[in-house]
Amino acid sequence: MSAPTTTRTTPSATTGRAAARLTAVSKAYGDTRVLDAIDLTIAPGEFVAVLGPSGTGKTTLLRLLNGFEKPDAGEILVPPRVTTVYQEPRLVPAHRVLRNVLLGQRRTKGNKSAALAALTEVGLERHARSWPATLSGGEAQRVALARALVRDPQLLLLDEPFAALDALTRLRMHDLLDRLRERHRPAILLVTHDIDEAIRLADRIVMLRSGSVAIDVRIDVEHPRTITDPRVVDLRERLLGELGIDPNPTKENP
Amino acid sequence: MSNRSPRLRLRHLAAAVALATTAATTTACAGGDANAGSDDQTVIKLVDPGNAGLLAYAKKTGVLDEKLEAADARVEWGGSYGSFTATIDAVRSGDVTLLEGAISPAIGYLSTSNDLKIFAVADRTTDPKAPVGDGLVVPKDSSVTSVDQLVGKKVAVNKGGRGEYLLGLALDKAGIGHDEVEKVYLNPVQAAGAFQSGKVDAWWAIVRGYPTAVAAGAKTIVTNNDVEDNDLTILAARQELVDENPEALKIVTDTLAELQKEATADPAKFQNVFTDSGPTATSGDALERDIEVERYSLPFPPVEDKDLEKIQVVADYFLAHQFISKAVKSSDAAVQLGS
Amino acid sequence: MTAALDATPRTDRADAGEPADADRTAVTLARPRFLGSRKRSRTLSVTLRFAVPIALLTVWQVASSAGWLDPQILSSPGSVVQAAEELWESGQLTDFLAASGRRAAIGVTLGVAVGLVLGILSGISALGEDLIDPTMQMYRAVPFLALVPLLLSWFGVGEGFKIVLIAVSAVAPMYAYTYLGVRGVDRKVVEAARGYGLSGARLVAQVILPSALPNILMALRICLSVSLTGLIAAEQIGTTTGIGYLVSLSQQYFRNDYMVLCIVLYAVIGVLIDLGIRVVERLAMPWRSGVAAR
Repeated sequence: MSAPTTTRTTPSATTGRAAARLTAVSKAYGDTRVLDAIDLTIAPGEFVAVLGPSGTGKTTLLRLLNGFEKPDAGEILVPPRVTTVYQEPRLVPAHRVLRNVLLGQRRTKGNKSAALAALTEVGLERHARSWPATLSGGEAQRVALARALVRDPQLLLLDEPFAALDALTRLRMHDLLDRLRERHRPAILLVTHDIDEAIRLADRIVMLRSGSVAIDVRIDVEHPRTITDPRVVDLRERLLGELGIDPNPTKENP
Repeated sequence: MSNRSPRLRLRHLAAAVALATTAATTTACAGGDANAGSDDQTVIKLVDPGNAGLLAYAKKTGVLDEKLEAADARVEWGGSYGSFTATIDAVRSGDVTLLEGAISPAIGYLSTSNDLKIFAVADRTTDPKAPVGDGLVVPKDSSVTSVDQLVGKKVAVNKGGRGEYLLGLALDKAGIGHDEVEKVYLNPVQAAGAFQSGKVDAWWAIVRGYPTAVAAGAKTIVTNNDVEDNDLTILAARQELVDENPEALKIVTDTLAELQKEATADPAKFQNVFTDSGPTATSGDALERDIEVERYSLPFPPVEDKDLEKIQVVADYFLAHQFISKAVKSSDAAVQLGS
Repeated sequence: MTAALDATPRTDRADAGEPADADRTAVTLARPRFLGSRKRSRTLSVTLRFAVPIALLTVWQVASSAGWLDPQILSSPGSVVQAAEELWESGQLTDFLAASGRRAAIGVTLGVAVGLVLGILSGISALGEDLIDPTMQMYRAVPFLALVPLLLSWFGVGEGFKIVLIAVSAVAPMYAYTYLGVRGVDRKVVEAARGYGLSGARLVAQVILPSALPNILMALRICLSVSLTGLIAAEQIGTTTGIGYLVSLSQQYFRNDYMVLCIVLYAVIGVLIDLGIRVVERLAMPWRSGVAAR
């Protein structure tokens, strides 16, 4: 298979400074080639959104970066501290919120105050002693975010973290993520189905198709981005086009 | 929907109760059917006699049924029982109405129930050529050579039974208090394991335990012959059998006496009666010994006055040493057939 | 908020390996540590399954032939095999297994039926729970062996008693696991099914039982194991056939080889039960294969 044209827009990728690097990574399940010789480099502090239809290897990409899977071929390099926020909060129901944030860390005074600070950042300091089951979906997901950030990750993996939330909560979460990113500046890899979310948050969008990178584009639009910005409109149309969806169906419907 | 549910739930519950009841009745009937027979004939229910001895031979030849016809009675051979307690349960529930045993367990039973009667007592074998029945054994490398050296040692006995009784007699004879040895209450199987692995210092081995232990190298300190044991072999029957058909019991003792004569002449044919293989079959030294035991065994004559005395001696000893909590009078415990 | 975060010393973190300033500029990259489950080959898995029992057998054989084991304490494998052959040739082994198998089958079926019905009733309805659960919890605490004398006086020493004893031993685990399984069925799925018009027996048969099946099969596994204990207890009493009778005989006759043979028989039966349930699980729960987290 021929590699599709990719736009390398990250200078650090060539200079060797990177927060994660995949070189010619392939992965197949049985006869299905989910990833086919993928090359991808994420610069420190860069926010990359990965888009693509279902079954194009987005989740596999994250599982590979997390070490839950091994690549069939190629090399994956990640920094020492990688954390993940999943689509579901994945909190331990038997631990209170604060203990969940501390998951896998020693419960030292310093760690505890860091966890509390992280909860404060996501606006949940009052819920430190609550049980996960008593939280709303958005609150639980914020706890998951706090848990990921308190580890001070160099690479933060987001696996459709807002997909299960209602639209309003999702918008609030976008703002929160923006703020947190501004403060911590980890490299972020966001896997999402939502083109608008990707455009709203990311520095760079990678679209996968049939296991390869179909589009790799940098968004040079300053924040906050509005959907009416012509550059945004252009990008949106291009991405939707790549997905085979007419961006303006109403125009053609009589 | 919610107001429909409770009714449905009740119906489920009713179904469950019905099922459980049916199950119980079905199985109860299955249990009852096995004992069906003609109404007026006396049925003597015995435990499975195993693979050796007079009763096993009688079961094989059917001689008891043959003789019992005269008294309008028949025998019904039941199953085997893993422990004495289990046999007692079966006697209590009436599933066993006649059994062979020893005075000691009968006394234990009679201290809590009065529906069992000893009707025949075998004489003690005194022939010096007869193999020793049972005895107090110590491991082959033990330094103990006499009863008085057992002070402070662990001795395994079966609680409130023959083992504890005979150990008591042996200690009395040696002038040692019963609490000066540490009695470890174990049934014969457990005791065999504990003894072999050296967890106890000595063991009053009874029945098959004794020859097994001796064959494995154990040394005998005293035997039942040394302690003037009155714990004789007996035949006992449930009260209703005694009331209903004493003639049949008489026939049983007579038939067994006949068989004993045969056994004295040709003891070998009373061994491995049904099978030469499996756990019940004996061979080699064990078989030799069993043949000799059979040769010198004595018949069970019906209870006489001297037997009543012996029974009373055992019963009094049991009460005095608190093996039983209630006195047993030999006149209640035994019946003299034909009197 | 900012102040709180900034006050946190970064070096306090459990995993801080290098100064925070250096993080952004010179990150050392490495292959991710593999956290997934390792797929083992089927051959290796089968080999490992057999390895421990075979090792135990080898140790036993070696210890016996070297004379370290007193045959009165533990018979040699050879003599146990010989005992098995003896029983096999006389036809008793087959008879005993058949008799015990029949008793266990009827007893477990009855016990499982009662436990299942009670567990379902208790699991799906509050009324059922109030009526059944307290009693069953008490019943569960009663060791079924304590009921032997009572059952003897009610059912005699015949087959009825043996079957009832096994049934009685199977009710409690079946009830407990079914109850838990039914309670654990996703309420939302049940709600949805009710919304689509399912209720009563159809709801139980089509939604609740299939969802509770993992627990129910676990219960069956336990019931079958417990029934072995029930068999030993039941067959000590008033029978001349069955593996419990064999245990009792070998003890009465001090036949260590047969005692060990009984243990081996129980072990083999245990393996067969496990295999059987695995097959049932695979057939009855096709949706579960590969789902369970290891």
